[in-house]
Amino acid sequence: MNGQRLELVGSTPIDDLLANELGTVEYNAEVVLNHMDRICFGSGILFQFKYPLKNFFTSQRFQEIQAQNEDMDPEEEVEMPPEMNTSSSTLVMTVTPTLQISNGIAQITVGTEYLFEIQFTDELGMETQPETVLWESSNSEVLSVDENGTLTAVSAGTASVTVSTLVSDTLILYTNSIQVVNPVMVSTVTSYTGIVETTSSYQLEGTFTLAVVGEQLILSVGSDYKASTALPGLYIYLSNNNNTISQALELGAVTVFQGAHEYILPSHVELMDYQYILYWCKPFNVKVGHAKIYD
Amino acid sequence: MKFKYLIVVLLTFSFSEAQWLKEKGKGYYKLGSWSLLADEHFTNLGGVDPNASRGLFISSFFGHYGLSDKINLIGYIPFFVKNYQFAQISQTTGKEYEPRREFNGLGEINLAAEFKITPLGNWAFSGTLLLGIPSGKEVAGFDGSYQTGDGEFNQQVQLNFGKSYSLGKQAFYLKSYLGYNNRSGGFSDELHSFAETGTQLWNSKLLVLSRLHWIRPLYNGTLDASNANGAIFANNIESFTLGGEVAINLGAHWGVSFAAATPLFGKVIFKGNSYSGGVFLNY
Repeated sequence: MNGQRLELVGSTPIDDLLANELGTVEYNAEVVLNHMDRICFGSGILFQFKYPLKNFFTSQRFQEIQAQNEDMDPEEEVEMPPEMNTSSSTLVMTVTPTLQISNGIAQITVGTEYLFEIQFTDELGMETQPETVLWESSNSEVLSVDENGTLTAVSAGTASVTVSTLVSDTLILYTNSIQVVNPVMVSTVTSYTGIVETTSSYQLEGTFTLAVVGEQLILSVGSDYKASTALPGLYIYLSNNNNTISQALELGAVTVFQGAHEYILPSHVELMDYQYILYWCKPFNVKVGHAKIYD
Repeated sequence: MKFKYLIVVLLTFSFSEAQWLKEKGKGYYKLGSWSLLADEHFTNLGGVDPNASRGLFISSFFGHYGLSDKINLIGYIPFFVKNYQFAQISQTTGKEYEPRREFNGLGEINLAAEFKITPLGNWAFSGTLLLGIPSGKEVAGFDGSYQTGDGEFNQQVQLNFGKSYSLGKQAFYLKSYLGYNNRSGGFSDELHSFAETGTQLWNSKLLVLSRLHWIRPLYNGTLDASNANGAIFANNIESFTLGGEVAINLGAHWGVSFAAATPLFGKVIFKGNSYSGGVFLNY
């Protein structure tokens, strides 16, 4: 309370007297504490004023003064010490102001922007906006940040962003270290094309396209397709193993042996679920031909 | 179809053992087994391609009875047929990626009647009408390919002819036939050519013979690789097989026989040796 202004208004004769005599009083109050030089904001402590003009303050009067001061807890019971302690220290009733980025990040992709938000608490413990803040990047070639806290990822690397403000000549700052990564190149593939070729003595050739059409996945065999009609039990599969139909998806018996045709795949099959097309002779349990869908 | 082919082979083997037409009341009966295992096959162009090791094992009863001196009845009942495939092992990992598969069932029954035809010179003639009963399963096993029959009813007519001849002091016989197999269900009809020669040794205790059998399709069927049952050798099979057999008379009316055959040429059929054996009763 050192340096605080107190306006004395009251209803007692003493108060009136004081008010009449002193009006608004500016004073330097000294508070004597037992082995304490700092008090948390809002806490009650036992102390006594050394009032520079009058020394007849009573405990009751002080409580009234206390009630006028918003920095003090009006519910706190204040007692006069039994003796005045002449070895006094100055009471500092403050909280440490804090500043932080409330939506900090650890990673950002090159070419993207991000708006920081800050949270500031002043020395009275009130969440408010600082008068001014300063945004800085440790490496503007990696990250840049403007006066509004908008971050721009410039190139891959690591840099930090610091936000700071000045409170009562004290610099308060907060730093967020950020990794900037290159964007993952993702291209949306909706189809694959390839060549069906024989792996046996039986004729099998042609081209194919496996494509997402609307909500369907369709295997289209081209007009250049030809297959031997001599082999019994020829079936077509999708598999992830080029050498076996174990764990493969059977599309059915081959019923077209020349020309374009289609297979509409089951709805649960997705474009990249299988890597190979297999043509398989069931009775001989041997591969007749294949096609690679994708590497 | 393969199965039909096998049945024909078995029948011709049995016919040879039965020798000519049986007199009235006489008969020839045989309880035997036949086995084929192959890991390659003839392609449609006559080449050879590998395949998973598959086998067929048949236990059967064959009977040939003289209804009269001029009419014989013949029956072939494959009462147990095992169609199987070995487990598939990865050469890379050594692990089994497909277990052994098999299907057991009744095969396709053949019923036939043989009629005596007037001899011409020193040639004996007879005619045979054979009916192939579709008693087997044309779709069987976990993927439908382990069938024990082709599901079609076929009728085969054949002209049998033979004679005896000598080489030095050793007497031999020659018997043969030409047959036409009319197949139903979209299968191509077939031409059958068969020839067998043999001789008896050790006071007729031992019969040694060899045979050739050629089956040629006429490519007039409608079935192709898309046939619904996924049958092996579903249509247009061709085979040219060389076989041999030894029959030993162990008693006055019974004995045992062992036979083997190998395909010399074929199309869309297993390329593997077959082996058979059985006990026969001949009186």
